[in-house]
Amino acid sequence: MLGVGVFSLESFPKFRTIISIFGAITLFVFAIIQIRTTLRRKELVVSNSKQGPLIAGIVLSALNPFFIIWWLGIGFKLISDAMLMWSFAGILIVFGLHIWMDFAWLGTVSFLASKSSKILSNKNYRILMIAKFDVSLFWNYIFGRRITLTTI
Amino acid sequence: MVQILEFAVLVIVISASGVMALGPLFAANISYGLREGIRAGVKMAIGTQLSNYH
Repeated sequence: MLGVGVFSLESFPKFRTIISIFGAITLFVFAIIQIRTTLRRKELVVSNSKQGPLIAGIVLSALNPFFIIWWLGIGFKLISDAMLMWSFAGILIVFGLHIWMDFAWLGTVSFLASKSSKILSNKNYRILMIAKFDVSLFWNYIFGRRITLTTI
Repeated sequence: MVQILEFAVLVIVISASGVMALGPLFAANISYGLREGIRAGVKMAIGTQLSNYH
């Protein structure tokens, strides 16, 4: 759906500039929120649920405003760039590159959780998130640079 | 080829900001992972895909 939206909005003047700015701002805000949450959090909350992991995955993704905003902001920009380079095949490329990360991350975390809670301790998680924050800022710079190049 | 590799790195790094988010999905993943191991994470990832691309 986002891909179709990008395709129809490409005709609007300054569309790419607007979506680049929106994507960069969203990425920056997410990085700030995430680093603040990580530093404030005292310990990981583990709760027992009666639902299976498949249902939990569906519900916790579909009802999570974070993911919705992520797709509308950052995801939209990535799809837009991919479609500019490879047309509709770009949508498949973005999804292919994105989907495996869900499996890799969620699989790794659950595996580590099952093996030892010490491996992914709060301290290690914070280090990981701070490193990711730096990377997010770097790509924020790249987004900004692209905006400058496309508007000149 | 260089273009697609460059774009792949961009998507992977930026996707990390969404995939690795600390939230209810992450907490639930640990909770299920403690009981079911890696299978729980794979099932949750399938659930995430179903909600994203339905």
